[in-house]
Amino acid sequence: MFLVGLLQWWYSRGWHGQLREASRRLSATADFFSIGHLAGTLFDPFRQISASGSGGSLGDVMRGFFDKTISRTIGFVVRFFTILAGLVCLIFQIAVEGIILGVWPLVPLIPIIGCVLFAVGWVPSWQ
Amino acid sequence: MAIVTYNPHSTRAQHARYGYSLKPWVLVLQLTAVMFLVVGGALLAVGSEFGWLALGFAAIPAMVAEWYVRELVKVPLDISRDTIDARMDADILGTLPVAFSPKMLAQCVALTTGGGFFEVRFGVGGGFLSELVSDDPKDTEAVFDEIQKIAKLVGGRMSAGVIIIALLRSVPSKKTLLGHLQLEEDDLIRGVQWYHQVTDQIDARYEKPRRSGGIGRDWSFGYIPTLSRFGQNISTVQTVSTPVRDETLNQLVQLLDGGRGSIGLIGQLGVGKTEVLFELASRLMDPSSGVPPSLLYKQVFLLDASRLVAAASEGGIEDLVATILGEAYAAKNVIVCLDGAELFFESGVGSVDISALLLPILEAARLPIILTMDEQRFLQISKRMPALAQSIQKIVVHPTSESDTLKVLQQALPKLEYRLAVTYMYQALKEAYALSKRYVYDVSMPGQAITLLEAAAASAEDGLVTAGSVQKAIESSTGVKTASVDDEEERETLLNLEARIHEQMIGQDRAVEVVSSALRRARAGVRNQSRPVGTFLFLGPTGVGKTELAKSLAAVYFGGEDKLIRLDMNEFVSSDDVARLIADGTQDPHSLTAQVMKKPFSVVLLDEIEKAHPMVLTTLLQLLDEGVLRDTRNREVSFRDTIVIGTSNANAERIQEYLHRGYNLDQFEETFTEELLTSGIFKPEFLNRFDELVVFRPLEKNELRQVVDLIMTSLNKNLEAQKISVSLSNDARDYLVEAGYDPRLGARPMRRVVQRAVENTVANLLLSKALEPGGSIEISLGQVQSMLDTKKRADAISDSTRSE
Repeated sequence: MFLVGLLQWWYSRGWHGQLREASRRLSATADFFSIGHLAGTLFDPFRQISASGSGGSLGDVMRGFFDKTISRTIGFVVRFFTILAGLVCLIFQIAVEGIILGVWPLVPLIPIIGCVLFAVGWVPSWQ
Repeated sequence: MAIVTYNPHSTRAQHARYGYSLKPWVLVLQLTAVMFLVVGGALLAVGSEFGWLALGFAAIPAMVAEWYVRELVKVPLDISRDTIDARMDADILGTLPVAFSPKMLAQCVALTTGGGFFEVRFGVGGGFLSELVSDDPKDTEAVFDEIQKIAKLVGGRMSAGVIIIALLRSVPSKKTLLGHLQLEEDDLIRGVQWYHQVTDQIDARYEKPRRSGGIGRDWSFGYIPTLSRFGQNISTVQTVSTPVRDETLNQLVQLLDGGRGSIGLIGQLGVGKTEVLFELASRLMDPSSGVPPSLLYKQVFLLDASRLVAAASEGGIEDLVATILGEAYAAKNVIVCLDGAELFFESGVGSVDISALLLPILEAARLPIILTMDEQRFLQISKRMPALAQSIQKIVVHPTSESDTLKVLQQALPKLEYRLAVTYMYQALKEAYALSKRYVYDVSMPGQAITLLEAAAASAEDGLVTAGSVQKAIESSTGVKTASVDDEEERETLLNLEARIHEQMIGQDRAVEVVSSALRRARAGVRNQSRPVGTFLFLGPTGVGKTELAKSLAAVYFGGEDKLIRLDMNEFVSSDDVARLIADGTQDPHSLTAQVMKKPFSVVLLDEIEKAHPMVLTTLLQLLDEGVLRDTRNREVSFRDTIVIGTSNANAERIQEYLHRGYNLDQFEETFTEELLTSGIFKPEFLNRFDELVVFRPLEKNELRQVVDLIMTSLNKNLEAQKISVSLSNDARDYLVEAGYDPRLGARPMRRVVQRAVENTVANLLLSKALEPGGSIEISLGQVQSMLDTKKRADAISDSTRSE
């Protein structure tokens, strides 16, 4: 009964739970890199480092415009590379999670595979 | 066919048992799996095919451990089925054998976390119940029925608390037991909900990880160096919200989302205005809370007004606030909260008026600002500064009801318990609500109850704060005896109260008896808790002991004559004096309400009450009826632990008349009070508010002799330091009775006459060395006569007393 219960869980709620865990981990990574948010604010000034752009003399207006442009450029660069890093991480994680989910149903077979390989007597050679 | 309520062989029951059995072995399983992996790998590395066997077998303990961690550690409830095995908490289900008695069920519950929760919080757990419930397995079915009924009240889950209540219902002496624990069954149901809430919150922490918004969340928003220095970012503090404040929070979120930038949270001190801000901050940081996207991840900064005022250099507060608000506006993701904002709208010690700076900002409403302000002071400021009231959206935070207060307290307990290193019982929370409502002033609920709970920690026994600890805290701060009478000395005092009072005053047996009975009823808990302990109107001529009885009562039971609050009502003869009667303590510390606020456990003596203005008497009606009086600040002052005594010598001449005509008190008392009712001196509704109208009769000769003896006892006490003992000869005593009694003033001049006669005699004897310290003397008639000279001299003394 114990073994039946274990296998039942492994191929039903266990596998499903693993899928849920995987999606939770992926969404945590996505949340950490906040790719959607960064994409939405790609050209926003970085940390609002800008002088007031309106009013004042022509010099003030020009200085404000340049400050803002520099701030936006910094913002774009920082966000772009963060998005890039996030995407790389996500792709790598999706691959790992996929492998875990793929291997999961094979785990109960590992003792049998181990016994078969033992019976065959093959051992990997390191030379 | 019988309905199966418990199937011990169901899959869930089996899984729960597996979980219980595997619990001590999980670590061993995990280590075994790791060991097999390491050994297998090593064997393969050295070319041994046994490595495959080790690697293969590593999967078995690993799978079992995984099953335990993911499922068996807490087998989920199966709410789709209405059976015990489907809905019972797995930690209890796992320990149950196939067949069991209620006693065994109680023992299993005692081993669980839920059982421990009830044991500590309510004083009723499985271990205790296992001594009381049946050990016959046939009785278990009845317990199952009760479990199912109770579970329906709490969402279907059959946790330890549900089982405890069901077991309690099977105990014949349930009522006595609950009475002893000061609990109702509803309290235990509330306890079950409390436990479920706690476990749900713990589960949610694991199941719903906190979403931070990511590293790039704040990159679009500005730097806030000054705001960060002077403000507290409360968005970083995770606060669990209580449903109690949901409505206020929703209102707040709606206003912020609608761009109504300036909001005022108005409420009395202690209602939880600051707590609302903390809950708002946490809600805005939680994407699953359903807040509008425009508000999600907004940073809530709390600015303590008093800290800002203290931190700013002289005259620099305006610049500082302007800088802070400027930064907040430029940052674009900040909500500024000014806690105790009234300090910015008035000048005084610790406050500075910067309304000229703030009002335009509030009116423009471009920066989200939340002001928290005390209700009363907001009204005062608004009256002076109508623009403030117009520029902010008001949300009134009301004091919480009893059930909401208990929920807030339950929520606040973990932090409170951690800080004070104590554990609170549920009974302590209930008692804190009841007693703080009555005795803690100037703070509203739930702050009122929290204040008292904090104070009660000092009275904790073995780290446990019980209802008794809360009562002790009140007793030590107000002197009110709220605990039941379990002290032998107090029991003795109460049972012999009449005798104890008569040690200090003579005669008036009926009056002594009625006040003593009222006190006994109060301490036995059989009185109306919504009224004063007793309200009496003492009627009778001057000098018969009306005031003396009030004094004696204060001395004997209330802890000293300083517990007598005495008001001469002839000082309240105009309608304007009502304000003086109920004045705030800061304006007049001698007002009735201010004195009772300081000494809620006392005797209130309203002397010569007939002389008070009718408006004053009307004001006193609520006091006599409901035991409360509202002061000028509209605070409810409780008189429910006082004995209120009014004295009056109205119509006293009629008493003399009756006595001259040969009636005794019992014969004319009723007629006298009826005459008083019809006389129009008091309104009938006023007289009817008193528990008893007690008529005092003039003292008789033999009683006056006892009064002299009483005075002599007190004089001897004064002379104790010099080891001198003084007594009176019989004829001297009779002489003093004659000399000290005045038909108009009763026995009032007696003390003065006796004191003068005796003390002067003793002084002369001491100076002439006729009496040495350590000696004793009996004063003779001659000595008294020579001291008082003649009866005329005594009269002169009487006259001087009267004129005083």
